[in-house]
Amino acid sequence: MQISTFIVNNEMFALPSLQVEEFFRPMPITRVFGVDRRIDGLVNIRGRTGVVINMRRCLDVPPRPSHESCEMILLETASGLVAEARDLGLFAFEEPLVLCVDSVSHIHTLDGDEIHPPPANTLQPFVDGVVQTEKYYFTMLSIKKLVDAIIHSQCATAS
Amino acid sequence: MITEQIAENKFSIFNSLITNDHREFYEKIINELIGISPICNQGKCTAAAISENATEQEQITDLMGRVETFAAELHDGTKNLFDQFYLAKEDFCRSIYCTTAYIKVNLIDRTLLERTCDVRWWAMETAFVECLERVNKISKSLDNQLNELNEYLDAAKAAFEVPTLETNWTMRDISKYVDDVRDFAKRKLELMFNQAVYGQFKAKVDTLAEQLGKGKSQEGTLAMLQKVLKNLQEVHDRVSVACGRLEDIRSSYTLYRDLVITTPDGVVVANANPETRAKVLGTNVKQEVWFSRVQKSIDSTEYVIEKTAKSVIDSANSLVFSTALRSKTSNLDATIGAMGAFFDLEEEARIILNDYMPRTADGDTREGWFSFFTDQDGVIVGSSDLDIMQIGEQAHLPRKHRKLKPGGSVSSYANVEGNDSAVFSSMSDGYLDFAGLGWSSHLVVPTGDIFGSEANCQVNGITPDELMRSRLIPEINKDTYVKVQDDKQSIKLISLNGIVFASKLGKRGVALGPVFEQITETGDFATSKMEELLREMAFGELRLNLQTLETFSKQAIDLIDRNLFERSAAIRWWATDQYFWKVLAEPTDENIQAATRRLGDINSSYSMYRNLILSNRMGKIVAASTPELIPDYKEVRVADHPWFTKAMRSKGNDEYAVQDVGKTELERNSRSSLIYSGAVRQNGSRTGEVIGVLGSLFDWVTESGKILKTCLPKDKNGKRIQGCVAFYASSDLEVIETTDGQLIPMGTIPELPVEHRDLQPGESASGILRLNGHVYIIGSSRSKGYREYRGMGWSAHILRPLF
Repeated sequence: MQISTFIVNNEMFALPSLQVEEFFRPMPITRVFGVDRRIDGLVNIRGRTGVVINMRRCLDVPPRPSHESCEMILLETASGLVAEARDLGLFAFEEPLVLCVDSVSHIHTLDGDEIHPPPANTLQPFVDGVVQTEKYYFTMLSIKKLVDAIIHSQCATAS
Repeated sequence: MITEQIAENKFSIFNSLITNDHREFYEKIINELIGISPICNQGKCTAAAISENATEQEQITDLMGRVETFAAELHDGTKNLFDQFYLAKEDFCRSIYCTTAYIKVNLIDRTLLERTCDVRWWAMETAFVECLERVNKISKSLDNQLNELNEYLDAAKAAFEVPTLETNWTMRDISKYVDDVRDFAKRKLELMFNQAVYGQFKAKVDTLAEQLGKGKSQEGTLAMLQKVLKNLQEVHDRVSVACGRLEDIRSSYTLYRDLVITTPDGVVVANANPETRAKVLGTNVKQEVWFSRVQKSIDSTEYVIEKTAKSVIDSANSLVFSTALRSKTSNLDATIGAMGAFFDLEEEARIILNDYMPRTADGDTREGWFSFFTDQDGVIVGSSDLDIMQIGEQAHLPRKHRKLKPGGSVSSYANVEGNDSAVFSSMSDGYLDFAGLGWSSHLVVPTGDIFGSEANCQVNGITPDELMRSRLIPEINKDTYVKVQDDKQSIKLISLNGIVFASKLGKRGVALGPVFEQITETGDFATSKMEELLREMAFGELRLNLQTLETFSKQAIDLIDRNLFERSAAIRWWATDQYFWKVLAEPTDENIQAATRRLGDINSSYSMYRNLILSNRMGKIVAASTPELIPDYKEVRVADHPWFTKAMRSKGNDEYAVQDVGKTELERNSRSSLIYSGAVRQNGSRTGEVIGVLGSLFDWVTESGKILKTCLPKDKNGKRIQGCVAFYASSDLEVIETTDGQLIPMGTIPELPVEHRDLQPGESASGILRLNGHVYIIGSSRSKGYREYRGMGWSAHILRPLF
């Protein structure tokens, strides 16, 4: 399996590459009034509307210094998931979602057994597991848990 | 000696100035980028091979096309980068080295301005005027007297009778004695100005007088002999006083090789250098230009500056400052003689030209660096390497370096003594009301030292990224940096997208994997190399900026040292003034008035003193240049003031004392002053008993503030760069003057990096300073004094903001 790694606040995270549709450079974001603070707004990707999730806010770390730029990851939508991804049980939403990260790093090819379950007492609620390579551990991000967390809190605020 | 090379204003990689390191660098980047094209072609072929789906193929071909576009952009970017790199360095070096050349000639101008004031001020000294008036008069009457004496002697020789026992009178031949005296009588000038000749003459006269005394009717001859002797004695007394005063000047102002006063006919009457006195006194300088030019002057404000190397007074390279001496009593236009001050140009040029030059570990000037002055005819007048650039030779400079306008500067590439070099020239534009001598200052720097690669891109206290964003880096370079990073990002994202795309093709996509990996690698290599070069450029820029601040801080401390040297010289000289020792010996109302007037005269001739104060040995103030302050001083006792006690302890009039900047009760509004003082001695003697102290209150804040402002960094167009601060610190590192009292308040001790605090005399340092949340670059220099003035251990610091 291939994973794509990215960096947020000097920490390395990973996503299965099959869950990624495209990486792109930052583009203008249209703010939306009243949404969760973790959502930066909307972007127009060649005619499709993507919701931008600010990973720094999700992870509750300080905002990026103003002179540093970010990079964006467009996630695969449910309709775009290839069969292999579905076989692996990877999740995708119907609408395009975009993660705003500090920078996209590398693509690694893994054997399945390099993914470990998240450590006990893990504080982050949206972790699927930990990837071990020769030198480092990456946190495997769970898109589903991440988005669920945002939706839940929105529902809570609304009620 | 120097052959000019025409510089292109665009640096192609084939320009000979581009270093080998950079050519190699360039080649590596270009080779990598050229490699992109075949890789992309391979990618396109693979796409056709693995997929029959037109959309899929198009997606891959599109990705490859984008990669190729970026590679082409990087290719152009690399070329531009080298151009920018070299242009930026060239530009910056031109600015810093032309400034350095200008600083050198400006230092000379500033010194020369002081000298023009000196000579005119000294020409009014009573001892010189009185000496010349008397000597001129006596000299004229001596002509007649010596003729008359000759007649008497002839008569005596012809018939000289002495009484005897046998007859009443008998003839005696005294022609031997007479001839001895007559021989001397022909040597008027020697009799007047040569101690030894005068001494011999006196002995011969005595012997003759003894003989004559025995004879008949010799009263007339004897009286004539006495008259001549009396006149000659007066000349010698007057000359001795004048020589003493000239020596006082020379021991106070050590910049002069000699000082002379002459009669209107050019006969040297007195000089300051006792070693050459026997040779110099009585010689004639009529033929020398400094003398003949001054004869044409109209009033006492006029002076003449003339370069000489072959004067009868002194054979060294000197600048002679001359002015006419005028009678105080009679007609103002009457010239009674001339004064010539032989300024030690050779030593002055040596100090200035060897300064501001990089040195090897052995302390020699770095190979290939030269600094020299030329006069308005392009003739070398001072040189840092007297064997290569010889004084008196025509400098072989490109034409445009010889045709500068006042204050103008120019640079060219040239081959100097076998080294590829750059020549930077600046012409003097004088200083204040001194128009300058039309001299130019030239600095030769080997191109290797300008364009050499930065050995290691590291300066403590700043990261490369911070530096790239700082205000030091020109916008154009910043833009390139952003563009390179942009391209780097684009290539990375394209190839990552490619890999993700390939992975979705499953097994079919495996063949595309290596293509994208190769693209990532190449893109990374090329862009990081370019980033490296940009960083090298940024650090080069930083280093040059640091060097500039060092130069400016050195200029700031040099200017204040030179200024204070003048103050220390002036106080030593004034302390020997007759008005002051007279009033201290006899404090009559008349004497007090005379001393007060004299102090007032001095103070009004200089702008940098707030007050001059004369105190007696008990610490009571006797006179001041601003009489309105005298009532305030009634109660003041200065006996425990450092300027007073130090001067009281001094051993001779070549010493002075100084009280560091601080508040004093001698100032109204508790302003701070720097006080220079010199001991006043009985009868103005050089080592006699101290009878009081003369102190000068130097207007430190105004003078030092002016100097600091001139040393603030300026941009290419000569405008001051915003946010820069300059300050002086005392030996305890306490701020004693600042251009920004908010950032660096007076009286505080700013937290400087250790290498800026622990500077040795004459040393400079530069680095990064973080202060109040801002980042600055800072250059510091500690005083090394100037000539025998040791300096006060002060340091000058210049700050320039980075953000």
